Amino acid sequence: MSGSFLFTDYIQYMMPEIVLFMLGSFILLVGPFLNKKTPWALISSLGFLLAYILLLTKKHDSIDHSFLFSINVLEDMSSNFVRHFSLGMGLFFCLIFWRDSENDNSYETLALIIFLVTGCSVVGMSNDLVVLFLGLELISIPTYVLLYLHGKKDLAAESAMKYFFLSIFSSGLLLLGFSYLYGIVGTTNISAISDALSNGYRFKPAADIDNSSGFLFLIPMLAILAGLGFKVSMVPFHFYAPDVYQGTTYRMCALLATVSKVAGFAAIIRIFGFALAQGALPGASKTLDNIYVLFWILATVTMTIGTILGLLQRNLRRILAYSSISHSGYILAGIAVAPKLDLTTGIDGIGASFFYLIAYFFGTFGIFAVLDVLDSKDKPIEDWDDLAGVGTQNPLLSICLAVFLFSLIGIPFTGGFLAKFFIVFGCVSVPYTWDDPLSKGSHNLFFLLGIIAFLNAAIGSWIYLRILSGIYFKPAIWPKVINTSFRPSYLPIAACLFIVIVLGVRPSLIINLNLLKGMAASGNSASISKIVDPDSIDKQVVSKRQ
Amino acid sequence: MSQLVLLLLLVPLAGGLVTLFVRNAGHKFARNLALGFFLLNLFISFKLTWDYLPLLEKHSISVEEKLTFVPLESSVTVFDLIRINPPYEGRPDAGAIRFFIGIDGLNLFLLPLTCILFSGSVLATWNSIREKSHLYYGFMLLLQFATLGAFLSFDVILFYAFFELTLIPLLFLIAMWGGPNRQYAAKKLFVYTLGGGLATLLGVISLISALNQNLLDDNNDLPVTFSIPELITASHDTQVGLNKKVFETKADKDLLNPLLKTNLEINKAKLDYWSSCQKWIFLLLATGFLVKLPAFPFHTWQPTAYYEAPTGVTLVLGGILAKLGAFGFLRLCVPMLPVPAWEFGTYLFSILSVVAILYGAACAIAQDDLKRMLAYSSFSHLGFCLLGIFALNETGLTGSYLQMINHGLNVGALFFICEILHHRYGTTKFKDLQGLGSKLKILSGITVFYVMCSVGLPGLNGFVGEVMCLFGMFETNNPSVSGKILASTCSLGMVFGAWYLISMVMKVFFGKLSEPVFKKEDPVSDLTMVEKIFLFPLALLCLFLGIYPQPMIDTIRPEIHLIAKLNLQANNLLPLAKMDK
Repeated sequence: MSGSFLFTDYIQYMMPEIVLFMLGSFILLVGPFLNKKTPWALISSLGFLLAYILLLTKKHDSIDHSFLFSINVLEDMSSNFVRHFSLGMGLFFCLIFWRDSENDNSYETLALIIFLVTGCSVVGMSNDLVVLFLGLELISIPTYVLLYLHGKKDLAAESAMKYFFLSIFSSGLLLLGFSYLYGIVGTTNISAISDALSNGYRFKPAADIDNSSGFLFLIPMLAILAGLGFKVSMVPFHFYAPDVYQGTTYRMCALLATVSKVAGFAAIIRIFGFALAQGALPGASKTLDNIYVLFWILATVTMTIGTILGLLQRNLRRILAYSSISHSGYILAGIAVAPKLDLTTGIDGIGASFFYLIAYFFGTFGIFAVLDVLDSKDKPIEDWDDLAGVGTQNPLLSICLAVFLFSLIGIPFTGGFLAKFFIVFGCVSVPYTWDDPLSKGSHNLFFLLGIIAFLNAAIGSWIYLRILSGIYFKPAIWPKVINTSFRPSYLPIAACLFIVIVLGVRPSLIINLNLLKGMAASGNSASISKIVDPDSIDKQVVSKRQ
Repeated sequence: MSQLVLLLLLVPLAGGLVTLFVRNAGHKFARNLALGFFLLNLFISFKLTWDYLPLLEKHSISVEEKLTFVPLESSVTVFDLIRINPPYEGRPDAGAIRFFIGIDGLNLFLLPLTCILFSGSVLATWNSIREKSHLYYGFMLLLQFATLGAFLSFDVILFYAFFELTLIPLLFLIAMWGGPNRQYAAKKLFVYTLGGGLATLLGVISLISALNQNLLDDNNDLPVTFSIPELITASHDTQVGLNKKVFETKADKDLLNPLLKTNLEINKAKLDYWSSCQKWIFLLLATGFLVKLPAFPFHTWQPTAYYEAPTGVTLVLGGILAKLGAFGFLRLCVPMLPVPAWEFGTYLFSILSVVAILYGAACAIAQDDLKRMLAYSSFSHLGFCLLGIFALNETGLTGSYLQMINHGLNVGALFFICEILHHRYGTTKFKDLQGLGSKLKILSGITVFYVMCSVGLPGLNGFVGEVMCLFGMFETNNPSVSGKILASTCSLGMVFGAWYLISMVMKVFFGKLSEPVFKKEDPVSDLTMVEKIFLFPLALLCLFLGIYPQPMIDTIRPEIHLIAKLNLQANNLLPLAKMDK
């Protein structure tokens, strides 16, 4: 193996995650011996801030990408995006879990959140199946504990158990897929696997690659998709979501609905990147050429089932669980359309998916945070009509809630509108080339997906309207709970409100859309083209295998 | 002067936000504050009309030259909102959703109409909104902001954004201050219009991406554009260019050059693709506008929404927001996609409008409630708008534009009168209100006047628009429909209109007096000062527009001429030699 990258490079590159992990371990170790009033939330927030500062100040290109096949973490736009995003999320979670400082187990909660966020960040930058799996487990295991710690008495055990078993099952599927893939290609490095798909691997030289060899790859890919589908609550792996959400608190819902989704989609984009972003690498992966059809079906089914079952619910947590399922469908639509798009003009599917993820995060997190504030022991909020009269009793919070709901509906001037717009714009701009008769099929297929997406958006608006009518159009049934004390969760709510509106009006203030556009192109497939000498690839693969 | 146009948008936005937060100042303060903002905006809109009317004459030359909508230069405000692609040399409109507003002949008169009716709506509900009035008037101002924004915008996404934004104030206005079934009505309106709007958005972006498919081969990387004028040009160029190409390759075919043959096939395939695209896009675009208008069969939200909404809101809904649908047809649908409009649009929509006119009129006859009757009457009269647009000739288009304005004024006034009765008696049922003329003399006089306007008595404003719509359809040379039969069938709608409106006047104002025992206001008074301030000047305006509509026809002539010409050229109805601009 070449020695031109150093262990210290890794250390330097992963400093934010390392700091966070150490902080989490420290809190877990010291927590039991210290005073219960220790401000753990403050400490962890400072930890996140420190990590974020470290992330911002790291020098660019600290990882040498010319040895892509031997490095385990990547530095590209998608990894930068996920890292920034997850560290920001961590801060938000500290703020909404702040009140738990009064409980005995506050240090455990916060340490687990730190682990979870670190895991999300690791998933984003991983370039190796093992690292990726490690990151995903770093999310799952703390979640089991958190679900039990924060459950509602009668439902906690059920919800934690359900999540535990299904999550273990999905991890098993994921491992099956990973080991199968390793068996075929002989490496766990994602860039190397991606390269092997087009340039040949152990059993199949490049000349023999044709559509029939796709079948061999299809089995691990399906297993991996099933495993990751659980994380993003994609139909048909969504059954746990409503039950689990119902059995826990709103702030835990905020965590469940966002962290594993960000990590899951980052992993899908990373692993399937080589199958999908073929526009970036000419002639790449003939083997998995048609996998976009699978994503098309999954996207359609996920958004439709999420919407329709959401219409039938009364419980707010269940409604929002189904809403999160249907939003996964829209994000999958962006991923499905990505390989079919011409990146030079128009829109990029992966970028649109990431934009959707951001808009979804701030909308959903905001709703759960507001509901968390409104929910109290004297005035529990379970069904949507429990919100009756909140509009007059708590005007500012309900305005925030209304804006978040409008964003999820997709009303203009909110982030949700632009997110849907980008996804559907991607879907309808699949080109129709004259010399390729097959392109007509995909052109029409994705046009249909655009129609289905908007139909779902229109029908789905009824769900959110019902919540809204609960807030504003029903007379109050509960006396007003007077609560004037400042709560730390007002900060993330205000931030969400601001960001949701800015995302809809001037998104360039928050994210650079041109950067997003290049996201697919800068994924690991494109980085491969940096390698000049094709022979060195074989050597590296071989050396890695030995 | 562009600052003045921007101010027209900012005043209701700022006013709305301010009014929403004056919580504890009492309903009179909120109302007066809102009225102040509305009157300020009314003044601005009059000033704009006054300033821009003389400028529009020169403007017709540039419209003719560029063969697309051209906003008056001094009225334009434009900057990038969301940049999707990097800037493109020489094309400032490329690759970005822009905040692009301006004034041209098509929207100039809709601005004062909007401002008049919104101010009138405040006067209509002068004393009847007492609960949470700061929210009511705040939302009304925001509604005006969204409506004006939609009329002013020249960027297609901005137009859509404002178009959908109208829904949020409407949702709150209807669901919080409406009748007993208000929540259902509000949610139904919201979901219907949102669904229709999303169809429109899908149509818009499909059009953009279809134009981006490089069908003409003469430019390798076409920029994505969202500007309405540029989209019209691009669509027109594609259509004319492809037609020309197919025609030219045909002429060369006898050379028996094999390469040319494939070229012909490719060009034909492209033309086929482009026509099928256009068909779908046209239907998608039209769906949203049909829902908003509303036209048969998308009208089912309308009677409930109109009936349940507080009358001040119904006034605005019928007077202005319905016009957004017709405006969408004139601004986007017909000029951008003239081919499907000609090929099957006339056929489809003229039949829909016949059904709307007659079915609406029949429903109106059957109603036992003034407000419901007016709702169906509005549905029926808007059928004429649709009929005129899809005559696709200058007479019909002009007529439908006039009908938009005149129907706005008439239906606004009639709903105002409806609110007057409702405020005094607490009911608008015909069986409760009979023979009021002996008690409310001035009111019955002015009602008769507005009913005559609405019926279409020659010399009053309702007549001009409806008759021009009918004439347009009568003389249409579209072979897919028989204009004469359609027009004469629709003229039955005018007869029915006279029937139900005049019999309403007979029942309510003439004959033996019979009032409900329990009145909201006792003793019942005739028109108050506030009501007179709205109804009398408006009556003068109606009379003026009925006698002398020529200034308005002249103002919109360039735009109408443009739409008609785009249609003729795209459908090869002009000789080919004139095809070059």
